[in-house]
Amino acid sequence: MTLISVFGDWNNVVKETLESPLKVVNELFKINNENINNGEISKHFGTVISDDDIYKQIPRIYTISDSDSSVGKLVKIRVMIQDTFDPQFYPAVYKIINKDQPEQSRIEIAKFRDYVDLAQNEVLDVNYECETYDKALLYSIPIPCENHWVYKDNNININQSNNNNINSIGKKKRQLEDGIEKEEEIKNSENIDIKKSKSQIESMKVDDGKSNETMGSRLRGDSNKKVDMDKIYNFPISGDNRNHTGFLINIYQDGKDENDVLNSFKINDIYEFVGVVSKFSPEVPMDAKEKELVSLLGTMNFDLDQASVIPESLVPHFHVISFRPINPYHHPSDISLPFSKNPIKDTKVKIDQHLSEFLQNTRKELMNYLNRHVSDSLVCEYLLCNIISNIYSQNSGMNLGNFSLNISIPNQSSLSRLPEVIQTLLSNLTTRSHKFNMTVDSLNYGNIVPYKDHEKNRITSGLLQLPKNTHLIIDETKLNEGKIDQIALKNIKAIQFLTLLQKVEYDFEYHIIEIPTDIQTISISYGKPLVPCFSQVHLNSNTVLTEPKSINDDSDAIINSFRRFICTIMNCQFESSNQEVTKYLQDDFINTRQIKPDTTQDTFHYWLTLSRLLALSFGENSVSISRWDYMKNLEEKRLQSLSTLLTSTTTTTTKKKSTTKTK
Amino acid sequence: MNPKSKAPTKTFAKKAAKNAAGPYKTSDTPFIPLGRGFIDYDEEVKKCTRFLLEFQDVRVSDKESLESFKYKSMMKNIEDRKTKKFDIELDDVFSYFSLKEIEIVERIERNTITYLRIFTKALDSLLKIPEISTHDPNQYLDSETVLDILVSQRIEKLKNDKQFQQQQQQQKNKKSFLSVNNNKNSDNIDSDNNNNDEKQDSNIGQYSTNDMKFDFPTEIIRRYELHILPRRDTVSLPIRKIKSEHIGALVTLTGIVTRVTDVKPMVTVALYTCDQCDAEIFQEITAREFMPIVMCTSKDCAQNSIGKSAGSLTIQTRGSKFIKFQEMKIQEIADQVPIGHTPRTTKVFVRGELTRMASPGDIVTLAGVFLPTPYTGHRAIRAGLLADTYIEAMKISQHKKTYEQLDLTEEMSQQVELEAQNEDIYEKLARSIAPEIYGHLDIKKSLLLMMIGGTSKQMKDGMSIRGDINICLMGDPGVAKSQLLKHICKIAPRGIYTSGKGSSGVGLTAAVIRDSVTGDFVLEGGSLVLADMGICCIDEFDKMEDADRTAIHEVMEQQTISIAKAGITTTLNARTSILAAANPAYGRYNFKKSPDENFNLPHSLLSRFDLLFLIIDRPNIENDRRLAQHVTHVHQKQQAPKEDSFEPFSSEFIRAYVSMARKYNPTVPRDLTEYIVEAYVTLRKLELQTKQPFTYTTARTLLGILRLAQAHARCRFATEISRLDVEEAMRLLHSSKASLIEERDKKKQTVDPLSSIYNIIRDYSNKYQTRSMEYQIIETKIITRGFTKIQIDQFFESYQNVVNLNESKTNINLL
Repeated sequence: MTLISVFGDWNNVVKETLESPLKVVNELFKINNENINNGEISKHFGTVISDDDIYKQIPRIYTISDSDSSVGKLVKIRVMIQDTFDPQFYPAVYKIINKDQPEQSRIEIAKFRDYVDLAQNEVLDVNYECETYDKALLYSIPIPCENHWVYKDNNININQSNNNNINSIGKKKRQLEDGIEKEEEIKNSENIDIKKSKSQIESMKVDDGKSNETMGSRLRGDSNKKVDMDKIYNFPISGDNRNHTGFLINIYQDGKDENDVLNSFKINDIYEFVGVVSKFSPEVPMDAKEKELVSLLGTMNFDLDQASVIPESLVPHFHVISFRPINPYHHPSDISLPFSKNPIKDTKVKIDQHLSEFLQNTRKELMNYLNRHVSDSLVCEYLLCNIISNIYSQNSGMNLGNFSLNISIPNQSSLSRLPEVIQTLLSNLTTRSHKFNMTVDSLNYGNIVPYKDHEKNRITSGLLQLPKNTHLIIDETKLNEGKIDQIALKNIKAIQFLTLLQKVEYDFEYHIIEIPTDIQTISISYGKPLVPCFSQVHLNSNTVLTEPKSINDDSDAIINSFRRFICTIMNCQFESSNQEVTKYLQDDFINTRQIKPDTTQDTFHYWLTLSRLLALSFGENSVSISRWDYMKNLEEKRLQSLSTLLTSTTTTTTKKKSTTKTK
Repeated sequence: MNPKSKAPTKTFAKKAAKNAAGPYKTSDTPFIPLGRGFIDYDEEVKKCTRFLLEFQDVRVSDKESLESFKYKSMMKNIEDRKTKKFDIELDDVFSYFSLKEIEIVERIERNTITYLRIFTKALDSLLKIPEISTHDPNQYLDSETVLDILVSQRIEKLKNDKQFQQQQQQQKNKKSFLSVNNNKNSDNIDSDNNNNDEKQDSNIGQYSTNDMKFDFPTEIIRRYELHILPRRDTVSLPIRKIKSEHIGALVTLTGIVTRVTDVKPMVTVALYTCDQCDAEIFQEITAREFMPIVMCTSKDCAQNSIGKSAGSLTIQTRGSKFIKFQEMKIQEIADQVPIGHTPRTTKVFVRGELTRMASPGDIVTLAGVFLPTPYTGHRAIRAGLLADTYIEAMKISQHKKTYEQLDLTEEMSQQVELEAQNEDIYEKLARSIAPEIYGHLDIKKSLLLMMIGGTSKQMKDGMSIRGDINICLMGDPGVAKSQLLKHICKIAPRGIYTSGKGSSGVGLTAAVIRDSVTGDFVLEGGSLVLADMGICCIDEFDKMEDADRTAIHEVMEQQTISIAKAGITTTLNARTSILAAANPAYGRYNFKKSPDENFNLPHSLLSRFDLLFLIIDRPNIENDRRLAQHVTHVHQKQQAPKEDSFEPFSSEFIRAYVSMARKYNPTVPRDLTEYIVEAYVTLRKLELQTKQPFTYTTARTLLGILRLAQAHARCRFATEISRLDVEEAMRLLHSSKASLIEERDKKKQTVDPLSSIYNIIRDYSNKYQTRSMEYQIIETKIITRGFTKIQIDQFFESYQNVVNLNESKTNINLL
């Protein structure tokens, strides 16, 4: 027996797979009992969705209302894993006994569901014995800091359907177990949802300070509640969520778990999951007695398990049937398509003649573009390097490719909007970017370092819990005099750790877990930065900056080619230079050291990193002598620019600190 | 369902939940066969009984004594109420059963709860039911055991009945009646025993023991806590590896305790009394929750109450049996977590004597049974589809990660023994420390010796001489000091990394903190206290706060920390080696200034370091080239270059080696004393000659040399310090200042080693006015100045026409 014989023809199979996947799963189980855990289920779904046209038909969902309207249907989500919970165990199947007609009792597969559908005269056979399987529980949040063009790219069709949905669903209240307060919140947030979708892209396009302000004033009434929501959802950055919801992801073992797939999920990775949202059953609100019992029990044992801390009414449960990891460096449109191919596999692009030309031309245009908005060409060169930098090796102790940049600006009012300009530029060019306003308050009270909340048994997110390839602007120009406390010191240290070593130390109270990341950081400061970076460049006081708003006027086509340029470079294959060049580089270092003894190995390390980035941006697959000299030339200019403002000692010390790793 | 795959370990939900109820349960129904192959459980009970009776510990020499019958003597102890714990070691089971029956061990490991019941049954039949004697009722009065309370009250009751009869018959002895009445009213067992005068005792004595047969449930009579301990060589699983196939099985795991609940009583047998018929009803409770019985079920009530309702029951806490119960959360330790992942946690249930064994922050190794339990309360709605899991603790042991307590696996100690035969083990080990850091071999050698350490001596008068070696790395920025420190922390079993500048609050030493709950002052140890018996790595030593710096003086010589704060005066142990890193005073070493000015640290502190390495980063074409090659290689190949196919040892191996080496206590032979004294005197003399001494040579230096020599001897697994050890110690002392001396020498003139050797010989000849010298003496002198044997050989070759060395290498003649 096959599925085709059950449903008629293949088209029907596909239709059923999309419309009621659980039915298909149960049919598969009926065909053969073994199918429950021999990989047959994921194989079937795999073949169905590897057809691009079908894959595109699967709706992508974001909000609670999306999930409500598509319960039981095959849907897809693209999320970042925020926390990995302890695994759960579940019986493979369950038996439903029909009290009236015992011969009608049936066995159903327990995968991909939270609740059992029981008719009036049916009960669950609690004594039924079967195998136990593991499932992994993850908590996911919408990908933080995603820039609007990425979102737009992915949602041309979805947004429309969303609009239709919202009005109809907005009225449908989700019942909340925790009382009316949250219900109000939901109403509010749903209102916001509508407002947002009305004002659509414009207001969201630029997330700069001003639009934040207008948003803020609009939301001020609910601002407190808004913050609470973000806390519940555990978003690293509040106000970034577009009213998207977090999901509780259930991943089931299918077939022999030889590679330990269930244990392979890491926090901060981006995944695309295809599966079903389970029905939220509001018919089981706790009555007073039960509440009392729970509270009594609460004093007896540990509150609850991780999943139950999260109110189900706010976080839909998602059951994964098929999934794929997403390479954070890939261009979003590359990710959107074929499901069959797994794009995270490190297929590095080889630079051929054609590509090289494209890169060279685009570089020229991109430099013009940057120059038009920030007229200091030296800063633009370094900015470009920062944008295209990514970590390409992070072994123990070694951390290659980090190019965090500090731009120090003269204290002039005409230049004080540089952070906003750069933020707007990055939000147009990169897939994910965020600007962090470093103030005394944000350091003292802001959530920056993620930590484990042992009470709730969850990781409480902070600013530094971001996926790889996220551009972070640290705006130190907003910093005023003030008293900072212990927490702020810890926060500054954590940011330093990030900019220099690309690692974030998650605080697990009894010990620290180092999570390697790749967050390209730019810090902007008046004079010497609080957060030392790998490189430092000084903005010329004659620089002309454009209005941040005018940046958005550029044509999409050209911006698109820039985005393509950046994403391509991040995935390019880079060869080591030939012997002759290598010797040249080494000799250069030795000779410089003879003249300037304080040139350390870290300087050499810095030069190698910079020259690699420059070579890549010119579409070259290895460092050549001329590129090396180009780099040295740039460096000379940079040091000159720095010396105009800072004494040379400060630069060397920051640089030294910044590069103490490797070796 | 495939019947074959229905392994017992995978049986789910309700049945497993029954298992989960606790190891102390016995059901009246025969054991349900749970597994494949239809094990005859009666047969298993017999087997277990046989094991308990017949197992003989081979380690006890006296085969006849009771001690050799390990479990028999344990049973005796339980009957005598000496212990409560009854631990069955699977190693014993393994060694007892013949090859044919050996699979029982595997069965126990896989289905532990069932076997706990089997052993309980076996034990119940073996242990004598404690005879309830009325001869000495006092023995029951002070006990906490429920059984005793019940018995004492029964005795009391009988006593009263009897007295009541007597009273009715005789109406005499009012005083006695009153006193008894008092006694009865106060159901406090701690009440004055003196009230029981002898007369009453003799009265009660008339009752025969037959009258004292009570129908207590076995659970109440049982007086032991049974645990099954895993075999000793069981590998501990990381928490993330515990999966559904482990359900019901005995697992061993290591983790850090993150939370513990208070210890709470958990009822195992509830006692009710009926308000109508005075009947006592027992209810055995096996789950976390239970439904109290409301209606009396006794025969009396059932018969009498026809037509009217049965009596209602009241629970009697005094007669119910409770056990201590605690829940713990255990989290994976940082090094068990793969890179980029976050640690997992698991829940542990701890009962009885195992409670209060660990507090948050402790690292424990734990053996227990992995069990599912149905969700309760609100969560039970989904119960059909999910199960909560926990680990029923069988054994909890705290980790103390000092070298001495490091458990070595057989394999590892064999490997260590094998490698120790190797002559260049010392060098290889040193090179394995931070292999990605280029060069610095002498520093790495010293760090190795620091980890091994000398022996601490405790004098009779209470004074102790420290064996821990302190090292300071001072040098220009960017010479990988911090990385060396961090690496040492990782290798050393109790390494703590801290920064002199960054550590605040508790700081380096200790702080007195007001407890938020109780409001009491409590001491909280700082890094130095935490690193007791380990290594404390302090970065940015020069930027340390003054208060801490004062405290460090004491730590570095006396190895204690004295505290007098907020009414607490105490001395804490801080037997730690200190590895410090510091920058020179002006950022980089300034040769125009004297060493003292450069150091920026008081001399009293500097002298406490056995070795003070000065690392100066100066351009040197040869070194720079190698460095450049290293960096480019790292960039191009994305890994550190492997030199001469050198395979560094793993940190586990180094740890194992060091812990083996620390077992040796080498002594100084008499004939070496003179040599050491001579070396010390030479050092002092040399210092006199130089105008600007790099360090002051003091008696501390001599102790330092001894410590280093001792550590080096330990490294060779030697029981006696040899001349070689002392020479190596002297060489390290010299090389620690090499970069400074080289630099200073370079300024004057470039001295090649050969001419300096010549100078040494010439000086010696001038001093003693002789042209013929003993080779041995000269060689020692040269080596203590930091030259190698190769250089000496070179010297004699190239200075043939000036200095003559005879064939047998005994005499030198200056021509």
